[in-house]
Amino acid sequence: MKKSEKSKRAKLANLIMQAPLAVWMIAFVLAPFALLAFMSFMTKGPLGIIQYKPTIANYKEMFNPVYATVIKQSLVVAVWTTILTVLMGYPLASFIAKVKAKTSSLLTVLLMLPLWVSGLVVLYSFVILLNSSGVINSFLMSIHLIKEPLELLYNNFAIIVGMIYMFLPFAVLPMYSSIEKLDPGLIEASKDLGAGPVKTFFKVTLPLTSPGIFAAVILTFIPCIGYYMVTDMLGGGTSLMIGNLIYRQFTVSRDWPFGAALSMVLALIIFLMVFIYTKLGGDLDDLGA
Amino acid sequence: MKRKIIAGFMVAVLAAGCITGCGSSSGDGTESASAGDTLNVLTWEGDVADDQISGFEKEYGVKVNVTYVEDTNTILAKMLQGSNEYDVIDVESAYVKSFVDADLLAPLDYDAITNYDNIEPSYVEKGPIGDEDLKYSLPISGPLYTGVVVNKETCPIEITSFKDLADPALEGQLWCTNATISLYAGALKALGYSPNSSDENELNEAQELLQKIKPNVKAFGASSISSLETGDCSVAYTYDYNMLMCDDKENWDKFEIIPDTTLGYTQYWTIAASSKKQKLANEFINYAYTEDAAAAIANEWGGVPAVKQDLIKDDVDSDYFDNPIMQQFADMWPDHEDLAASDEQTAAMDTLYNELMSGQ
Amino acid sequence: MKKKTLVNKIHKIYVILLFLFFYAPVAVMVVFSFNTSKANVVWQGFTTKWYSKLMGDSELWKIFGTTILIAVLTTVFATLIGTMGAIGYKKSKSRFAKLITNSVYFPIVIPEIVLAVAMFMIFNTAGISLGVPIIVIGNTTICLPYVYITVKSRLVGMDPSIEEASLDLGADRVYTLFHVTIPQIMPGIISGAFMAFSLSLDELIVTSFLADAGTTTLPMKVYSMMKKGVSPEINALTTIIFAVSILGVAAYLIFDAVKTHQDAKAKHKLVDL
Repeated sequence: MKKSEKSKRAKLANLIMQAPLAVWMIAFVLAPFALLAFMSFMTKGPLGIIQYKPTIANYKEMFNPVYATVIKQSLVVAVWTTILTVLMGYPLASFIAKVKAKTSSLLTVLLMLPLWVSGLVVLYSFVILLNSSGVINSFLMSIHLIKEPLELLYNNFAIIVGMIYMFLPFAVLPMYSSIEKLDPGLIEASKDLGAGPVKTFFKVTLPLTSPGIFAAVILTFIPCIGYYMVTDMLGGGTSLMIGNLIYRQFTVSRDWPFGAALSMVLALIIFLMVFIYTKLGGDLDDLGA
Repeated sequence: MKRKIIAGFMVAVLAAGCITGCGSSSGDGTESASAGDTLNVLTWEGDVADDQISGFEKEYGVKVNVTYVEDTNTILAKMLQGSNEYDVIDVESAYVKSFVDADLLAPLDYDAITNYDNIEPSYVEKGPIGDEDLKYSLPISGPLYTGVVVNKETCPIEITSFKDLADPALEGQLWCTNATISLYAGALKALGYSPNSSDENELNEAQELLQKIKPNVKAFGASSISSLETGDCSVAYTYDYNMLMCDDKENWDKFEIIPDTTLGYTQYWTIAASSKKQKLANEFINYAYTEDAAAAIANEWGGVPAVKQDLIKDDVDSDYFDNPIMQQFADMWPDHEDLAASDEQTAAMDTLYNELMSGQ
Repeated sequence: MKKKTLVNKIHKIYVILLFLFFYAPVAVMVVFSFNTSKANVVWQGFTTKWYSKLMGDSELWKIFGTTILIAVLTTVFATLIGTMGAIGYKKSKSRFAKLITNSVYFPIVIPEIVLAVAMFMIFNTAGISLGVPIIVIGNTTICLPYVYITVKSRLVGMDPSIEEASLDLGADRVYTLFHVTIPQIMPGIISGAFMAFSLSLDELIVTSFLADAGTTTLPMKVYSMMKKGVSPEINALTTIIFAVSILGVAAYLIFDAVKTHQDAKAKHKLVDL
């Protein structure tokens, strides 16, 4: 009797925990997503008003090679950003996990503070920092280290710098959370068994903190694909990103159905990549998905 | 311990947020207790002055909500879907036709606009494409132009036409607006066609010209001022020449705009057809042409005023009207060409733009 | 031993360099809030006029307040719902459960503009008027995945036997939840909350689409200013926000140092006894 009552209560408890998320997802994610899918099959009317005439023209349009180029460019930037951000962020995350609790919360707050103060304004400050008569160039020229100003703005360098800046906190935090959980006793044990620090890192630390790394990769790579603020402000906007393209459909081009179709395709590509990852042995259960 | 710190931090922030956020929204009631009316104005940065708003609020006993737009298309898209948030809307001349065609605007009540005579007459001789009789719109400021702006000291070549932007000597020197309409209109005009053409052949020619120009572009963007003032670029195809000249008097001798490359894009006040406060909206527009309002705008933002220069001559700096743009813009006005982004043109330009910008 | 301290030193230096990189633009932002140039790109001269303008600009403070309010509400909701969901769906394998947990990824996969338009259309069609509550819903939807994923990565590999032990020892579920489970995943919850707060403070696209006429947030204002150059007045505002935050941090440090000192003194006294 006790056992079935326990499991009943367990089930009820679980349901209560699940309910808010389930309701929220259905109402505010799945419903809009369904609406989007529906819209992608509609036609664009005059001035962009949606005409309820089903069509697959939007998807046919997708075969224009322009869009493949745009998606590819966005993916390249996203891949580079993710790799660099995760690589640079891991040591930072492990440092924050290493220090005392009070220092770690201090460091975390300091890490997020610039973004709280307004990411856009800080990003704009990069323009002031990096331009040819900006702070860095003026300084380097005044100490005669360089004769001509360095090209630091409106190129790939600026894009990478800006991207890392915007995404570093979002990579560091999940990794920190995972590293912090690591039992130092395991590291000790590994050392006691004769493994050097490098081996310990690769055979013990890394695998055990991989959920955090995976979370960091997901939380950096995926939003990065659709992100275009940095390429617009610091990169010179000379390349169209998929984020720009989709944004344009809902504004300048006033073609909401096509924008919806583009989004569906983008979502599909991303899910495809995650799917391939799992098939290659990656464990989505690391995230419980 | 950590939990307590974080909790404390969040409580402090919550308190701060509530005090400022909640407090000021309930402030609506106390500020205009008498009339209790609110007017919703949608406008661009630089088109209204703080003193103008507060002056209007005081005189009419109402509250004005000013929302700043960064993209006309977002507003148009929302309004077409039925959104009716705003009473007074600041529309670029290129889009007035779209708003009029979609029946989104209410005719202005000229009986209420008693300050009409304050407006510089040449600016109201003809309205934007789609509202030439100025039934629905009135200019917010003096004329504005998109065109080629050169740094007289550092530009390596002489520029007389938009086509000159393709000159290889300008590599990496050019800043360019990313507004689709401006790009294609500029190219079309330089090739001798109508800037509003939706002819496929003409647009393809324009595309070829733009593709020749693109390698010279260092950056596309919204505001050219940063690139021009820092010297990153010596030439720009931009619409904020007036802001550049109003930012710093030193710019008066440094920069100039090339008249043959210019296209007009004046901003206009309009009233939403769905507005329930049209009387107040008309009064707001009327107020903008008073001496107080016009002077406030001139002192806060600079630029060519919509009103007669004599009206505010005594309220601004003595050299305010020495700014070269005053004469230049007035000279260009009679023959200027306007834009009107039609649906067909937009659709055609859009595909071309995507190809241009994706490096094809 | 020497190797260890060298590695530690390099580690420390790396972190310091990274933070310097992080704060370089912030320093520039602060300095340029005193720039006389309105376009604020080239240093033209020193002035404090933007701060005085700011003090008199009640609109800007209202905007700031609205932004904070939205961010706080969003953080509360996202953290609550995300954490509960992560815990609740830990063991579920049903198809419905998979649907829900997979759909958590949608808001980060889909570009914000798309989410913005989709939500706008739904609320518009349903006749619900836009405004702060709707913006909070939009922001929460965006932030939920970050909380969920972070908490989840912390839950994974958490030893379930500790929970079971607690229950076996007679503690009820609520007690177990609050005193066993949550403390273990607390770093994940905090990280998630921090991310949610940051995202919401800076959120632009969904907010602009879901805002009504009387609502403007700081990112909306800043973005619309970017068309004409970011005036130093905005720098002044962000500098003040930054200064207040730093003061808060400093105050906490001082308070903590004092408390530690007092604790140490008290301990000494006890020992002496």
